[in-house]
Amino acid sequence: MRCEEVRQRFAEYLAGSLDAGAAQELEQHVASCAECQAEFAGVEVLWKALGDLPAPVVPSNRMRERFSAMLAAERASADRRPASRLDRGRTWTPAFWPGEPLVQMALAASLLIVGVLAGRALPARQVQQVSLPSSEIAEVRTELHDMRQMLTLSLMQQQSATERLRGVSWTAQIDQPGNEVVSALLDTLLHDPNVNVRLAAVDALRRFSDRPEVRLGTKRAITDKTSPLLQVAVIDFMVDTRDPQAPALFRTLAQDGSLDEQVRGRAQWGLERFAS
Amino acid sequence: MSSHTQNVTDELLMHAVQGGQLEALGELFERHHRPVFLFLSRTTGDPVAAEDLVQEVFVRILKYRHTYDAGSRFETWLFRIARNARADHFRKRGPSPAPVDAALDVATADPGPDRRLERQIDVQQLDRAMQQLAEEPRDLLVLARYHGLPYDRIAETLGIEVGAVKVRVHRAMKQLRAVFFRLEDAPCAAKK
Repeated sequence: MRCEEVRQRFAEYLAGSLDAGAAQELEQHVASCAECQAEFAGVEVLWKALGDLPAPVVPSNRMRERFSAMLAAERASADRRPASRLDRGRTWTPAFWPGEPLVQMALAASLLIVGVLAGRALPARQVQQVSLPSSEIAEVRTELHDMRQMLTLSLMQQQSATERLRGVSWTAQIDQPGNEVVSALLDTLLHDPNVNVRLAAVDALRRFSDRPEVRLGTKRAITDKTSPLLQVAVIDFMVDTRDPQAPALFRTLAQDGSLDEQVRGRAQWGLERFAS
Repeated sequence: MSSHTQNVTDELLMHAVQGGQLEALGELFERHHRPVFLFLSRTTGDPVAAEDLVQEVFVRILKYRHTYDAGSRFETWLFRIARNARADHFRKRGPSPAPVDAALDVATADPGPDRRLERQIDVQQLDRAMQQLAEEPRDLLVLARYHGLPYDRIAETLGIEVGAVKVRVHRAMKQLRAVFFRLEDAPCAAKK
């Protein structure tokens, strides 16, 4: 066997992948060739040192949560696929267009109202001639506001996680949303099967953080051990909104050995933020 | 699911996924998310990107499940998807500063047998040297050293001949040693 051929097998030999005959042949060659012996020693040191490199920490819990959310969304979408003839019929529709007829009607009505408002507002020079009574404009605005709110609530009830996610993010566009929007967001935070939708609800609830029911809801969500990601997000929420009851809750979380390590670490971090 | 599927092969599980039993993908995730993450983390040097990429890999498995060839090894297909996802990710992100030694000429950079490696190697420096290798030698070393893949499986994964794997792993080890020495000779520059 030529030296170069032997050397090409060093790594394979060190990995234990060579068959017994080839391994023996290699050993015999190395024992009788000083140059290959030196070469082998170098490769062996490097091979062993590679084994000493610290292994990266595998964030299994986080990856599992994201995977489960993805799979749930895919299954929900697959469940809706039997109505594929309808789907094929509406392939021309834009990506944001919702699938449910009720939501479609609501969206169409809102667009109509927006169109009417825009049509009346656009010819600025004629505004004085055709100006509407302010009470009428206020009425149209109220209708638009209600329609948008209804559409948002309807989206949050959809089977598709993507549409529920869209509904949650739309709440940010509603000025002075009613109690039903806050209740729907809290319901999503506590019960939605998709962790991404729940995380979006945490963000959407920030503007209502001074409401007692929101503070109560976030406290309930933080005890949900099935989702460490959500727990961490709620801890951040409570720190950012300076919830006065947070330190006591964080102390309990930081000492709860049954919780995910990252949740306990985040609770400890939260405590430090309140102390500073 | 796991108690029923422990003895089921990856290939059968993937066949079930193809047939619409999406829950079988959960078992495949449990079996493979860790090695895929370690492969991506070690070859990118970026655990955060690796975490995102693992998600992307399983999304792609679902999306392209109909393209899986039932006669082929699942693990090989999986690592191919992982490599493609990584390539797309870094293509979108723009050119990376590494590898600075992608075109390293082994013949001229090899310090030769006179220069020996110490028994106690600085592992951090070795890690930096690994990150400076080009994509293929790094993949080869990671698959051979950490995943214990035999050369024929590496060849299948990378789509090359077994003979080429032998030559290239050997060359990758020489490149790694050369880069390691280069960093050792210029420690300040290496840490930048």
